[in-house]
Amino acid sequence: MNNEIKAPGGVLVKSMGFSLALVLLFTLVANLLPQVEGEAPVDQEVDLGALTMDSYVALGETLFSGKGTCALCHNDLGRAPDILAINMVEVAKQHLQDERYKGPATDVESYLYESLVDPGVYVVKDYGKKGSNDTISPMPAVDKSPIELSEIEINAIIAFMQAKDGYDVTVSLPTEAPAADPTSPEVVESAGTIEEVVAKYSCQACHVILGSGGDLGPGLEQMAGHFTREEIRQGIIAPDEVIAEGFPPGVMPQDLAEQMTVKELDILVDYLASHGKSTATPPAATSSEGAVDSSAESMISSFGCQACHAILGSGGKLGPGLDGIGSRLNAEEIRQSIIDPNAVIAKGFPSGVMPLNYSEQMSEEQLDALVAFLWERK
Amino acid sequence: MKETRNFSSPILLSLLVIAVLGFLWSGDMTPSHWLPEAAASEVAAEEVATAEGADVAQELKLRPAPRPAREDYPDVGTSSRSIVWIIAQMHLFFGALVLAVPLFVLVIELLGKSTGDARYDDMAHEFMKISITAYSITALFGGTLALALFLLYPDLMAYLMQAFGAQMLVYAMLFFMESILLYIYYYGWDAMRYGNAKWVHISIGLLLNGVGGTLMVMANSWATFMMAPSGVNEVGAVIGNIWEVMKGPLWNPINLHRFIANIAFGGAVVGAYAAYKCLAARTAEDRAHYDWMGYTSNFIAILAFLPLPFAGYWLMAEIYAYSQQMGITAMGGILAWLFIVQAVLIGTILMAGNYYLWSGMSRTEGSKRYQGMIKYIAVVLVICFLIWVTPHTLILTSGEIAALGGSHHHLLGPLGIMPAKNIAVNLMLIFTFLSFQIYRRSDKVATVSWEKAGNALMVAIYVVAIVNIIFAGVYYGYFTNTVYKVGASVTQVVSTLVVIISGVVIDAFMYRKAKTLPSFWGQVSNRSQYALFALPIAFTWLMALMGYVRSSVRTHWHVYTVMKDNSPDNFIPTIGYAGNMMTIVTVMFVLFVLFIFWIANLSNTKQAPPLSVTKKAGEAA
Amino acid sequence: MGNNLQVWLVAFAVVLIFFYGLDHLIMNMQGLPLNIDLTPSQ
Repeated sequence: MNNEIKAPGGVLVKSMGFSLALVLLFTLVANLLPQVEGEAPVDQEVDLGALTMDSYVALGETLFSGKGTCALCHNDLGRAPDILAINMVEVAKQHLQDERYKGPATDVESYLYESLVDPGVYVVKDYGKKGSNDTISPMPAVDKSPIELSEIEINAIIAFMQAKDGYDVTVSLPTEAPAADPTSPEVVESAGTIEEVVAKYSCQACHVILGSGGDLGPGLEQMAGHFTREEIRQGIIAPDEVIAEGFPPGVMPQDLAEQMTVKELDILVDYLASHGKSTATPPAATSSEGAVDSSAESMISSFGCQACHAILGSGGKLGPGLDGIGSRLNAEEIRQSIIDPNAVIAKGFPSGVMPLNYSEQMSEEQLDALVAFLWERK
Repeated sequence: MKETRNFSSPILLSLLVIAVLGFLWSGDMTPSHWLPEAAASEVAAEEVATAEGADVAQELKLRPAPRPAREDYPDVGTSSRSIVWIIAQMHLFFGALVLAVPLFVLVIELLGKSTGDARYDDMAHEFMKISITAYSITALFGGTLALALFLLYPDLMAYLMQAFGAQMLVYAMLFFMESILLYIYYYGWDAMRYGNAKWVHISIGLLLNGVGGTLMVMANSWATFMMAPSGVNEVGAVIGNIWEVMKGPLWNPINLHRFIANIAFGGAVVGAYAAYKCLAARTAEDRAHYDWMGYTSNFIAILAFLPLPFAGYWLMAEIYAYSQQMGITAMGGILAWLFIVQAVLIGTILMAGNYYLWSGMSRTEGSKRYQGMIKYIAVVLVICFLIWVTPHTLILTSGEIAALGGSHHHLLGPLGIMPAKNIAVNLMLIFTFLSFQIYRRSDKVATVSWEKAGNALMVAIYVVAIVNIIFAGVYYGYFTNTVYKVGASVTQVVSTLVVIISGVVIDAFMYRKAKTLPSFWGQVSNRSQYALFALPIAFTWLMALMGYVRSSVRTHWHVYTVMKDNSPDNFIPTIGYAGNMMTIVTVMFVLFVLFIFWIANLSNTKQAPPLSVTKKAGEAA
Repeated sequence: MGNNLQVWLVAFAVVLIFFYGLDHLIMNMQGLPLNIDLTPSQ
């Protein structure tokens, strides 16, 4: 039997010495490796007055490897196309020609812009998310968290991509004063009157208010008799919590509360809560009476398209304009955009706003007529 | 009773924590959606008027995450991050220990109950003795951590309170319950030792582990929320219920990873206790007891350690799925060098574990049959280890490239990239399991008729699995595209798992009625006991390291994508700096553990009564 | 118990087939099918 008997003190010193030596070894390894600090990105003050195209391109290059974190994946390791090694202008042209390309971009600049803020529109072959068969891009939108590039910075990167291979830079130098802090959401001008609020959020697309409007949602002129202020407020903020009888849930945008300022919401609630005893006439049901009207013009008015889209010379700006839609989309895409509006969202417009149930409201015949009508707007 | 002193501090502390949380909760940190509407709009309106301007209160009911400016962070003259770093790490070390020990203690207790072997019960009881002092220290550091966080990062904590709200109170309550159960479990051990009472005791142990596990997953959800927030919108306003906030994409991978790692860590720490007692033993009987205890601890540690890389793999895969950018920051960006250090640490653990198993084979005569294999295993382990620590390519910003003098490390070669490392890691695991298996076999002689066939099968599984791992790594790793390369690493991992599982199963059947050769506990070299010190040291350092990586992938965000870190410490420090921090916490931990061991011994020590007392007693009689 | 060589051959054959199937299974589950000779079929 191995039976050395030791003074406990000796064991303590030895085992502690051994442990300390081991810890120091690990520390040594950590200190032998390259010592690099990872600075948090600092928002660069861009002096717009002194900006030249050269310095703008240089800013783009800095952003490419710095704040934009592009170089993390776009390098020679095959995670993503090696932007520094390929001619991006030529590549952009090829992608625009590709039959797989379905996005709205028409030239190199708009394509590059789109690929930065909405990378999923066109996924380069073999670079899609695993298992998605190149339909989903693993790239984050650079204007969103966590990258949060400003418009000026995005354009600087486009300028850099054009200039690095000797092409003319087509993006224009930023001139007007930019939003002060690129990380803050764009400052929204608060609407001041009930008319402005209603117009701004296109309430009349679906509701009768201020004497006119659609019938997709319940009329809003009779609220005061039936609802308290709190319920009205609730109905705006979380529309699906309480659904008026006979109306489908999920149609009204869920994010109104996020879009509105406090003041706007108050104006709206104040108005709705105080306008009940008035004798506004209930909306005339247009589409339900008589034979199904499938002339495109009347459909456009009865489905309230112009509340959000500009077409036939008038309409809102909440959604993309529809004059000339036929040159951008083919018939099948137009159809899809009506029955499943969130499948493809035009650049610069929010998703989830357009009602999802048009396919239920329209007959097949009506849908065909509408698609044909829109497709002819070239 | 010296030990009863332990009672007061955690219970008082948990009361303190509840009080602090309750106070903060009732104060202005209340999320506005819990207030009546009118009050909520007041809160919002006030905010418009005050601090941050219109953008904060654009939403009436939904409050976005705060955006503290640099001057909103209290300046205490030294790095706030370092303070929180040290305290949090100490809390986590002890928390891990306290959660893990009762877990395997319960298993050992059950083992003792089913075998009727009192040694198990005694050992389990002794393990708990370590856990109980550690618990007070956990509570102390937990309270300190909470205070430090609220003092140094008030905006972040306000936001987390907003997101988690009442869950933190539930946490405090459970903490209270954990204290009570732990004390009943430990101090009731001898009172409920036999018969039905034992089952009551075991049930309390089960409850204790249930509460402990719940505490852990709740605390994990705070960390994973900060890495991959869920239940909030783009600006961080809470839109989901508490369950949606907790159940982020990284929550379960972290839960599993921490659960397993805690067991390995706890096993390693109590192993060091046993090693120390073994070395310091004054009788052969004591030495044998602590040798056996050390062996059991090591067994637990290594067994829990083997599946850990797979849990880690899952975690990394989920991180990549959540955000490729975050994944690359960890594995290919600035933090990638830390994985070299990780390789050194895991290498140390595997070498120490293997060495301990090989030394332990001297306890029985039967080991002679396997002795010859050891040198080959050692050679394979060393080669794999070297491949593993070969640095691979790093993706760097221009500044980093300048600092390194090139984007590729000069040691970059075909051995530096992932497929080679995957082969190395998997082979190291397989060969460690081989050591483990021959150790387990060394004191047994199989008596089943199919022994030859069973051995042939086992050998075939080893050989084919190893060939498969090398083939998958080399072929898919170097000759096909990236997708297949990544996919093939799963094949490798599964091959390793097949070896481990089939090894356990085959041996379980093959040695069911085996003849056992005599083993002599205590008949082991002193040097082998040092492997039991190396293990917890490397584990502790490793835990500090990986915790740091996990936390750092958020880069300059408190809560990734929704709340920026604007503190002076929002940069990623150098590896050297981080390494020094890890050494500080490890040394601190070791010192506290020494204190715990000392306390555990103290309760066994009885002072001989002074002569005067004896005399008086004698006279009285 | 058959002769030694036979036992070894059978053991290796069984395990080889098992791992071959395993490779196919695992890669297929990830949407990465293999050809019969284990080359990528995509």
